[in-house]
Amino acid sequence: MTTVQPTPSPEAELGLEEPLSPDAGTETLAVAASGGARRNAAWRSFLRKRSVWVFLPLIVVLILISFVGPYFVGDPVSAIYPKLLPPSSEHWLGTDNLGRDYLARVVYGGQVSLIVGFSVAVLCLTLGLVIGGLAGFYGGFMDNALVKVSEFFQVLPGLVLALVAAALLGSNVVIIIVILGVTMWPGVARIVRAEAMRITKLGYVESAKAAGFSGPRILWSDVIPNAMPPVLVATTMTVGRAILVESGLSYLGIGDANRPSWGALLNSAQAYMQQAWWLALFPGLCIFLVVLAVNILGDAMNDALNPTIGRVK
Amino acid sequence: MKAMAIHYGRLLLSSLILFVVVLTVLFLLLEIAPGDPIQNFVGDVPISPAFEAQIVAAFGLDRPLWERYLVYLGNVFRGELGYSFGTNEPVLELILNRAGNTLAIAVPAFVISTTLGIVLGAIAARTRKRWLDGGISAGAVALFSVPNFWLGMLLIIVFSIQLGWLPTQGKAPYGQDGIDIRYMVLPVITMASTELAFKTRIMRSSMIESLGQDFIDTARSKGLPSQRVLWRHALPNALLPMVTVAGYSLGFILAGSVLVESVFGWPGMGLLFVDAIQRQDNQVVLGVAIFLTITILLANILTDITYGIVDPRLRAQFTRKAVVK
Amino acid sequence: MSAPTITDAVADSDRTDTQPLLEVDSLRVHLPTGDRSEVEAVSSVSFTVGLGERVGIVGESGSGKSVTGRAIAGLLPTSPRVRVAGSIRFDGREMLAAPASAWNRIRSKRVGMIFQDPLTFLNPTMKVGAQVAESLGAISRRDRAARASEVVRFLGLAGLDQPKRVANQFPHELSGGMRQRVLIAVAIAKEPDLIIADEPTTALDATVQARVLRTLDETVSELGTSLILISHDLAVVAGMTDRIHVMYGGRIVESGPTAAVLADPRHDYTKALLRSVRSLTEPDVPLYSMPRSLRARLALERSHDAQD
Repeated sequence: MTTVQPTPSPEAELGLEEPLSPDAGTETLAVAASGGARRNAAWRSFLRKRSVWVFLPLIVVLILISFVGPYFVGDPVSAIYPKLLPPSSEHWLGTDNLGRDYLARVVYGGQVSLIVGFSVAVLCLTLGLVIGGLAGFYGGFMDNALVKVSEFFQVLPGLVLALVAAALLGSNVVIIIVILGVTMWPGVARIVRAEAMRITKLGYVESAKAAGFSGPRILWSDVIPNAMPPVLVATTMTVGRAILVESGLSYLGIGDANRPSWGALLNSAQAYMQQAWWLALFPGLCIFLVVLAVNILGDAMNDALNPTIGRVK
Repeated sequence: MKAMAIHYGRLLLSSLILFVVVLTVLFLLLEIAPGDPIQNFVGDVPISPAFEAQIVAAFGLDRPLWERYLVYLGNVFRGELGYSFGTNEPVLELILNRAGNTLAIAVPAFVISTTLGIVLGAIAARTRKRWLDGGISAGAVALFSVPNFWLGMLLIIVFSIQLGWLPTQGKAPYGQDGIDIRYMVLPVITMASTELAFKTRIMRSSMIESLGQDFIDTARSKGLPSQRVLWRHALPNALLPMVTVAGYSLGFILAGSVLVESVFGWPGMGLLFVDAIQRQDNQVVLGVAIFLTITILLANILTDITYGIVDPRLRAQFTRKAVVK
Repeated sequence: MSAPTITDAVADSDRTDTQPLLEVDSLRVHLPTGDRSEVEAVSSVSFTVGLGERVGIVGESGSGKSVTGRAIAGLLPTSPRVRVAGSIRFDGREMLAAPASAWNRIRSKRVGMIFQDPLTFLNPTMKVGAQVAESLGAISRRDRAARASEVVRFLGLAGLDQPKRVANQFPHELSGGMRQRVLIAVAIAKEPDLIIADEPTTALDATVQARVLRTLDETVSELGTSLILISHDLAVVAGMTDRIHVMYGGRIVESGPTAAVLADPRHDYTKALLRSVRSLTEPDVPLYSMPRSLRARLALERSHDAQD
């Protein structure tokens, strides 16, 4: 909170205050003052949704399984069991073509997929906030540059560029994260830019400038915090997309050979679709559940932030 | 007319610039790739030192960076996309042979995902039955969250392996030329799936927004039956943003062909691309990327033209005079 | 009286010569304002409109005047959370619980509405002439020549200079004033018994406002339709209405013949309203805004009413 926003008076709450002199600033002060109230309402609305209570725990469970699970399951690398066993009480997810316990492989695979997904999202958020914020706040050159970069990635799809880059530069986890981050940040940046532009147009940014606050300071402490809600929604969706793209890449063979993610498991499963359907089913199912949960949570966040009253007219 | 010429002139120019930027990025990637540049050029085909010297001379690999860049640009613009040492064919020919196969499944996927997406989205937006809207929306999110290549694998497992209704791989029975329709079914469905989900969601929100517009009130105030309000007022306005969406989706579908063709062994550009990556046949890799970029650029221009025709506000801007006072 | 009577049950039932065209009785409207909350936008509003009569509804934003107008035309949002209670009788026929088909019949032939913002209230992808033609009543769909000439006639009646040309244009090609005239044409093309005009000139420039209002005045006189004119602008309502209702906080606080109410207001709110308007328009009167105490008293009055 900065010194620019007044505290709402009790009269304002009751609608009983004297009408202020006609001034565009009135509306923006009211917006700034009630921002906290609206965020609370959005938060409560979010928590009330059934979908949140189903899928938020689901994500938590999947994350736990991936990171705590390894202590409980067997070794994903030791090929000591009979090959291609279907799921049973001994091997919950069966065994693969080399005789490795599949449950262990899937659990360890989750680590890679989830780490990549969340790292990419964080990278996109950072880049997006900086560049999108500058573009929306200052306009001009940064804005044009951002638009051009977005166009670039529309014309050369991220997946294709990622494949080319990974094929040429190598494919360990870090490189994959960087490549995906580079191809996906414009999406987040666009949202940041739109929000920054909208907020900048509101009166209180100008009054902050008049009060002597410097541009970067205003950007950091006023514009960006108020822009966060839709940006968080976009970042959440980015997690899902990143996981999908990473799984596509590793399915095609671009991935860390020593730490196979779910997509890489699917790559191996391809040859055994005939005999061992479980090899294809489970890793994909995990990808699906994680991405579904993330997307539904993102949707719920979006709904909570943009309530619509009365749908059809 | 002049406004139109200026607009499209600018569009072509920026497309051209974008194209050159893409070429430059690809070139730079090739440059900074680790490993022996000659081998990078040739792929993982073993070569003799004599042959190596020939290659260097013929393709100017010992010249400075700037010269190589310009030679490369010049080649691309002349349609010379290089040579695949692995298969002994010019890259462009290779791509053109396969492009038809990719389009054979990409175009139906595009048509199906667009029409079905529009229909489902409109139904979801309009219906009073909450279960119908909820079902379509939930289905869309689910389809959106599925990795489409995994969906392909599941479809193969269920329909080809377990049920035996449809073939598993390839585009036609072994040895047969051309494309057999039965082989197209699963790949087309797989290719269309993600885009279908996306378009359904967008159409639904576009329709809801259109139905919330003020001119719907005016239409209702005329006592028009709700069907007419829907078809004549809400739907046309909701379709406008869909033109742009459909245009962009072509790019996504083509990019997705990389994955889908791998699942089904479908001999199109995508599979060519993946094979080339694994063989390190970099000329082919770049060639496909370039070809894809050109296709998408053309699709974007086409979308822009279509939108200009379809939206009366833009039509007037280009063909008529100023506003009548 | 030129409105053609239609031969369907709605028109012929229960109509006597002294019966008012529209009777609104204890109308209450609740609108949702969030996930769980709602507000009573209109609380117990009652008034009547006779044949050929012109009624004004004046109030500030949030007074419920627009909601009242829309409720009468049946154009409230169709969310199930919108609740309407009371009675709206059109020609003696109770409309509140009537099925959608009855409302559509009323809206297609008897009640026309003119909205506030001509830019957003016209379909941007449809030619103006087609939008007016949708309002045309009796002429068959197939007689295109007759429909076209009727469209041109009504566009002319609404004050447009080159109606034939305008009919072929899209809304964005016209100026604000012209678009508003198109909305007027849309409303009168069905030759209604009642026109509800909701802030018809608020979105227009001051100079254009006066001209459009005059057109509306002339058209309504010529056609002999009844008029409900809703506005926050006293000046607009003063010049064009026989009777006036002043609304505040969802209730009517004062009613009466226009001239009488303006000359000698009874309710404190009306007095305050007049005083603030005069303070803006007359040079020597100091700037006036409503005191907090008045608003507090009005809020109190309102909550007492609500407990009845």
